[in-house]
Amino acid sequence: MPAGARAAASRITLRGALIALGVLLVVINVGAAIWDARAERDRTERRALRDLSNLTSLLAEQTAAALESVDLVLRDVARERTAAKAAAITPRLRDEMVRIPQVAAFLVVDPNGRVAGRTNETPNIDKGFAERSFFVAHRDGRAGGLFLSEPYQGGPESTKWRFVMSRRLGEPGGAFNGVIAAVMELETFNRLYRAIDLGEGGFITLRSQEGIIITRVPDPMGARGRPFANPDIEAGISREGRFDGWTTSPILNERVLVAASAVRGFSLHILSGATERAVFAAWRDEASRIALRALLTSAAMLLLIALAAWGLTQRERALERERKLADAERGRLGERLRQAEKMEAVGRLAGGIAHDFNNILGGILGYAEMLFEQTAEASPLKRYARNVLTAANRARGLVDQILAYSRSQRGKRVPVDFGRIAAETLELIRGSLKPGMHLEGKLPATPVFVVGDPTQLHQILMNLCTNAIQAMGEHGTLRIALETADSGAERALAHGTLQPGPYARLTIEDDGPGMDEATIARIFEPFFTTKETGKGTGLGLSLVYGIVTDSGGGIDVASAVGRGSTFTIYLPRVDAVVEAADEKEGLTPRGNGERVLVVDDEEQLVAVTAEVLQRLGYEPVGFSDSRAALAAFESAPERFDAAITDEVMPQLTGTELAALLRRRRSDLPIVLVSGYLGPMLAARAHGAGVTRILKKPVQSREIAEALAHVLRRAA
Amino acid sequence: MPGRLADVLVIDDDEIMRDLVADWLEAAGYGVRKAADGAVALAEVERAEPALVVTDMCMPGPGGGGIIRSLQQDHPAIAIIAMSGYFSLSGCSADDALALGAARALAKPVKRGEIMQAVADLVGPPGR
Repeated sequence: MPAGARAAASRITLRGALIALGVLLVVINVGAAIWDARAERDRTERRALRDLSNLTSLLAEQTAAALESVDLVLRDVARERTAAKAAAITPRLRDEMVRIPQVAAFLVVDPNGRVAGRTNETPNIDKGFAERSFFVAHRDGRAGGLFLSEPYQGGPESTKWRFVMSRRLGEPGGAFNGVIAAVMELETFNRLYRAIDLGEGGFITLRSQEGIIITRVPDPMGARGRPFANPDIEAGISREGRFDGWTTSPILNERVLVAASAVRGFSLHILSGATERAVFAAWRDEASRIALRALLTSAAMLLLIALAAWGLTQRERALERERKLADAERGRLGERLRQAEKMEAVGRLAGGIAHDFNNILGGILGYAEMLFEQTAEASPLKRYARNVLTAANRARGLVDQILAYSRSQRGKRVPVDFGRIAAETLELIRGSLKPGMHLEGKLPATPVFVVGDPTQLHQILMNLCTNAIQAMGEHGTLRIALETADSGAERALAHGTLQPGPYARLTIEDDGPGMDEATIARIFEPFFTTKETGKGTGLGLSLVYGIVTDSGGGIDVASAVGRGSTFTIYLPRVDAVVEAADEKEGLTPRGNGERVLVVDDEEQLVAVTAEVLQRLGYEPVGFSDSRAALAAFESAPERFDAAITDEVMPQLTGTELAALLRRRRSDLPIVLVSGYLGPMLAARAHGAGVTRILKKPVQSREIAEALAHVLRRAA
Repeated sequence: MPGRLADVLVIDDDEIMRDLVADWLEAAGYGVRKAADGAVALAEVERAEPALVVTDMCMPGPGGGGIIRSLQQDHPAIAIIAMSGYFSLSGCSADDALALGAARALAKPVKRGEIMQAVADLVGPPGR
């Protein structure tokens, strides 16, 4: 089924698109989150590095200034050339120390390493300085100008971290006359470094070019005085004067972000830095927030898409269910229509054959009769002729049934009390019941009038009851009920559709073996029988069907194997009094010179209908061409009082013609004649403005009544 | 045929039916002529006017309807019995025949008693 496949394809595409869109949204969302997090990380790193770099530059300036102010004093003293002269200005140096708090003491050492002068009287300084690194360096000429010693713990309790800045005393290039040294208090540097809030993981380090740590804030590992070379930093500074970036700290042994710079004029490096963890601590919080946000929004999106997909599926299922129901309904209607058409066709065929066959039988019977009459009683020919007559008569019985089916519409159409007929039939049946059978009749006390032929109505009851009795076999209960039933809306029955209106409902119920679906589907077909060969013609129910549907009624069948069968017949109910009075008069209604347009493509039928109308007192105008009829009408629409038209015609059909006629004269009564009556034609005819539909073949009385009716209604 | 009872013209395109009706009438003593179609029938009528025409309705050519029309117009004195298997307005039904002016319309297949009765009603009983 290509339509189904197409529907499936579009369904898959729609749902697939939805899911793809959902996945895309989530991917975008997650991607954006990752992008944001990375950008934020870069920003954080750049900001941290910039802060560190600025700080390092500041500290380098500050440190250089602090050292320079001391060096100025050292240079000043060094100009005295000898230890004795230098010692002489020690009191002045003591005044200088007020300006430079970073100096713990100034010392003047003579060429033998003994103290020649000092600013502080500290007992442990009295020791000789001959072995101290700064003295040795100056004495041996290894220190260029200014000498910076490694840090050491000194002071009165040897607990204070200090280092020495020193210069040589003597003539340039001449004899060694001693050393002027400043003992530097590291705590003054530390105090400055500690005042800077670096946050957790941040640090400031002052070190010698060679990598010996002068001081570090904080210094949990006790790195002061120890060498911790860092090739990255040393290489960077020797190349560009500074180093900014990631390196591995030899002290902490982890990755750190560092800004390092040389201290201008001194062989020192100052650096500030922070551990990777500290640098990214704030970023990590931000990243978790971004991740959480992405997670929540993605979950919401997925939920939304899932809901949409679910809703879509539900709706598609509902649509699919509706479509299947509609298909099934269409199939049922189509099946019913085909069934009706088939039965009509078979009926017509059977009727045609039966008709010719009847004439042939007429010849056989006629001559057999004559032969029988003129043969002497004693002759065996007499018996032969009698047998021919018997056989031919049986054949005629069968043919009559077939004709009755195909001409079921030939019955009279008069108001009949269906209740009275049912009562009579029940009496007949009661007499023929086998001892094991019961009959339960439920008939109304007041008459129930339907329009039809009393004989045919009787036939309906007889056929249905006979079938029920035969189905039950030896014993069982037959229930017959007649009641009034009003249908509020159009209702589809197993066979036929009920228009809204009043009905008489006849129910015939047996508790026999019932029927299976396949049998139920065929029971109304002509010549279909479940009885033994020779016992049934297969026309009984066909006849019932023909009579009921021709009277505008319908049939419902309910049966199941082992559950018995119930046939329900609906016949339109009428208000009997008025119509019965008409019938009593027994007069065919006549016209009064009304001009009637008669249209049929068979010329003969036009002529006959025209003659019938003329005799009824009308003034017929006949046409065998529907377009000519339309032209004649349009030239003088007011001159016509009614129209009778065939449905099936070349060029313009009856309903098309009716619509065109009504367009000019909306009050024109139109009678449509058709060989087939069905709900579709009825709807089409109604839409075209047809007032009344007659089924072919039409009797003159029917035409008379129909015309009188529509004209009375129009007037 | 002078001296015989009333002259009846039987018209039917079906030979067996035509013969059967003719045989019945002859057996009763009526003078009978036969025609297989409308043209032959009208020629027969022109040759000698029968008292009664028994005609089938559905035939090729002018058909029963045409015959009845011609006779009504040119020979109104001739009584007409029509035979038809159809009852509705199909152009050759019993109803049509009556509408056109046939005195009787009989349903096919025609029963012997019915036709003898109708003939006797219209042209007198046999043997008189």
